[in-house]
Amino acid sequence: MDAISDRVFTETTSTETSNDDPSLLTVILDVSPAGWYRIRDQTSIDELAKSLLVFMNAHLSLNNSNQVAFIASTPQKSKFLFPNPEIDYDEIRTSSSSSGSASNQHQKTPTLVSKDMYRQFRVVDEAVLEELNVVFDEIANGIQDINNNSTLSGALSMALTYTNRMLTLDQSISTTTASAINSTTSMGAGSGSGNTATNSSTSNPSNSITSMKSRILIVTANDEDDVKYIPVMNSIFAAQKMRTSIDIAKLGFEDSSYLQQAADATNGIYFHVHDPRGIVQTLTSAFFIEPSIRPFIILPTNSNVNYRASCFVTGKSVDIGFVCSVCLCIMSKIPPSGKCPACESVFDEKIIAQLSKGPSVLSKKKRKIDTNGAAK
Amino acid sequence: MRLRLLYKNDGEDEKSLLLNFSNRPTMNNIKDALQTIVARSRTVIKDTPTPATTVSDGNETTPGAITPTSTPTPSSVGASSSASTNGAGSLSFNTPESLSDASLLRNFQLQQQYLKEDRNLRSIFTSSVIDNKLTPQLFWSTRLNQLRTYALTISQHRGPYNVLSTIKPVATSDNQVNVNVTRDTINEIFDTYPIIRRAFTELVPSKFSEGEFWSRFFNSKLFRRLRGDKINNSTNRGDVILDKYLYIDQTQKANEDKESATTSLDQTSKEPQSEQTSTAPSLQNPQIKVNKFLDLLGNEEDNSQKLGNRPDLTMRFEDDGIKKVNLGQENEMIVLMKNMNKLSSKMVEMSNAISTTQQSLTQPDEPDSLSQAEINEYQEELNLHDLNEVEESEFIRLSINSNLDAKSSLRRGSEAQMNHFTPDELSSFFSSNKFKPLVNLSDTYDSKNADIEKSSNEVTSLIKHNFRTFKLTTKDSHGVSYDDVKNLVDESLVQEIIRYNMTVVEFLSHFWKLFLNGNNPTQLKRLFASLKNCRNDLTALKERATKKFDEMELVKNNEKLREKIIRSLQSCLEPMEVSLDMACNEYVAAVRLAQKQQPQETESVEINDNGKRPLQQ
Ligand SMILES: [Zn+2]
Repeated sequence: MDAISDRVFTETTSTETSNDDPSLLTVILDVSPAGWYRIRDQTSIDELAKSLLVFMNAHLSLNNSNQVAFIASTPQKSKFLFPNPEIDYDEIRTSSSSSGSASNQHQKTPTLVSKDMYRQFRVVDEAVLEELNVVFDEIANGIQDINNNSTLSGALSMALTYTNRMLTLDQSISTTTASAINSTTSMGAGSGSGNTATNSSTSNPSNSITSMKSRILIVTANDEDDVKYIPVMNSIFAAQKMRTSIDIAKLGFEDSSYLQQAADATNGIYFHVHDPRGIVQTLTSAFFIEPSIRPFIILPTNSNVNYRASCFVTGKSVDIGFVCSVCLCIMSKIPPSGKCPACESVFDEKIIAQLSKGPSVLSKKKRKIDTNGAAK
Repeated sequence: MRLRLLYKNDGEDEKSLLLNFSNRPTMNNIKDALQTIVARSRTVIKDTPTPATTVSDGNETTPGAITPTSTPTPSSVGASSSASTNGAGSLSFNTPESLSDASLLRNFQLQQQYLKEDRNLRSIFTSSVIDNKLTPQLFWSTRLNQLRTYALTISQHRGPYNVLSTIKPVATSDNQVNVNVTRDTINEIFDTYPIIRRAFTELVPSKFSEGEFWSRFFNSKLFRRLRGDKINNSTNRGDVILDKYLYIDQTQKANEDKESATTSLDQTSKEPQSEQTSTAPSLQNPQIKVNKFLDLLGNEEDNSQKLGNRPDLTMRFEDDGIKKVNLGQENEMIVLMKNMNKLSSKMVEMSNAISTTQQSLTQPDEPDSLSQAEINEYQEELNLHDLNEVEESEFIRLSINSNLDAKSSLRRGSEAQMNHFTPDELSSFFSSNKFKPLVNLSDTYDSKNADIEKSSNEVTSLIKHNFRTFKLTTKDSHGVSYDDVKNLVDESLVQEIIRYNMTVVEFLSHFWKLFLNGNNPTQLKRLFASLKNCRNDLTALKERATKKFDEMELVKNNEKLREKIIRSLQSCLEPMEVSLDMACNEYVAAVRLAQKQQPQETESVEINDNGKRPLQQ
């Protein structure tokens, strides 16, 4: 009965995870040809990839159980370069001097990185470089069919699903990486669409055994704002739920407002790299901050975020537009069909008529306004 | 066995006293008594703001004088009293019509009072309506919801509540216990707990002073019991005299109920507006006919005790006559529940009294003839909903077409960009990027010192910038002083920009609302003119500020600083400029378009229109 007259809430905040937790870093490299071609005077994609390797090696060296993943987003598809389920890394690790066996095509060619390199670095670097070469070949050969659609949203979804797997599965099982990658790649690789993002929240967090920290770094030179808005937004929300930060290293000339939003909403860092020649410095300083300490320090992030939404019909940013009351689809103009382009709901004709009748600026006093408008 | 006492008279040194005892019970008794006295003397009753009479000032007012004659003090006027006592006037909202859009717009008294209370709104109102000639009608038209909320807020008043539970004795550093009570609170206590009024009447002039009564009261078990605290008979100290009322309360329940009914009748009758006749018969407790639906006495007829299983303690029927012997040993829980129930019904009764006095007396109160709605309501209450089957929730399937961007023919903007380079160029570009053995990662930093420094500076300057923003935004909340940073910008200029911003936003929101949906060209035209004015004022403001900066000694001699300040000013004003220009341009464009679409022939239409409403000359 004391509760009737008095109630005291004592809030106890649970202490955060310890600092020794392993951390997963997923790098997404947007290999959209036009963007990179346009900044060819400043840097090349291979230069940048090397800097990224340095960055990943640095991450691995911080903690023995730190993890990395590398996803390439090409105009055709998104795919994991590392870890790759088709490669048995243990084999590479043990048979260091490509002695024989080698049913694998990768081992026939001479290795791209020095054999003297620290083994954990070498495994990652070798895999990424080889796979990147394959990616470049694919782009170079298939350049005619490229429609320049961005698959970044798909890559982001893949990164999130992989992160989710790594966060919830038992790390001690050695096959985890392979099994996680198998399921995620089979889900996301072909289509590269954002549908996978919705699955990421379904697994039960209670079976989480390790408390891993995670973040995603997107490196892109794409100046087009034509990102798939819904999948990217879904990914952002999923990342928020998973407490995964999305960092953006934006090269090229324009800011990308959707990626800005992604970083802003997930406590990530958005940094427009104007001059990529010294990017290794940027990567190892600005992008090296663990998500767990981000709330406490001043981040090198560009906080001027453009929160504009994208029109679902034209793919362009909207200043003033229409919103479907059923699915919240955003339109800069009412589709001629009178239906929502996303959910097919039929809009009320009367309301359409009212909305599209245009401003009534002059009915009776037409001439007066005319003189006013012209005078000023 | 000894007891040592330390005491101190004003201005004297501490003295001690040693008492010897030969038996422990006696010593404990004495000790308890002493502790009670000490605790009592340490309780200080503080009478907050109310000026008139205070409890502790020794001004022995009789309770009769205290209770009903006290009028609301000025502080509590405002909302509640004006709403409830005025009854009439534009600030009462008893009818649905008084809350309609039109009547809210017409209710100037309400608007005025709202503006008086909301400082933010007032400054928007001043700058947009008074300074810039926005019509008040338009101003309020977008704020009808706020206005309605405010109207409802002020037309409500506080209902009865458990007064004692809000009183919290506070221990101070010098070991005193402070209790804050106002005269109003005391009146409320008397109204809610007639037993206290009774104790006060019986004891105060004759036995204690008023102050002593209250300090005893706040140390008594009676206080804790009425508050709803659990009292433990053995350990807690109480007050011998006042705690008697604990039992009086129980034994004379019936009498007391009668008394309480009459006191509440007294009290309501003394309220300025209620007439003697207005006290509804339902207030006479004994006469209330309780509907069988709700009557707990009905449990007697359905006494499960006779059937074997002992019922829950709250459900046991006890004959008062037999059980009276064990008074004080009744289950603590039951006592508390009864107290709480009594309090609750008291509150319901009090608020009923208020509402019934406000209602007309034409409806005779016949508790037993329930309306269909009431029967339904009671039945609904008896229904155990959680035992019912849960209805399956139905979903409507939405077929979201997330691939629409791939198909859309409108999205071919990127092709133009692709044409800047031939596919061959791209193809060879990517081939040339391929890695050849051995890749040396030290390429990324070897002999790149200048580049690396540049990148480093880029990162650092961004951090610095963010830090400044952080300092600015946290300045107010943390009270960090900025004396070290000389503030070049006049506070008045900052205020002016803020005020401009509010005005511009206000006008723009009205403009877009009318422009996109409205059908009021005249009003729109007026808004357009206001926007134009705002735009000109803004330009003037900018020039004025720039000139002012240029005159500053510090700025004049420092080209870099000047540039920085001008840039900051620009970034402050830019959003306003852009949005104003956008609105003006849209308007002008729409006018032009409309003119093209309605060529000369509209002249005839115009004449028709003019027939109804003459053209301004
Ligand atoms: Zn829709």
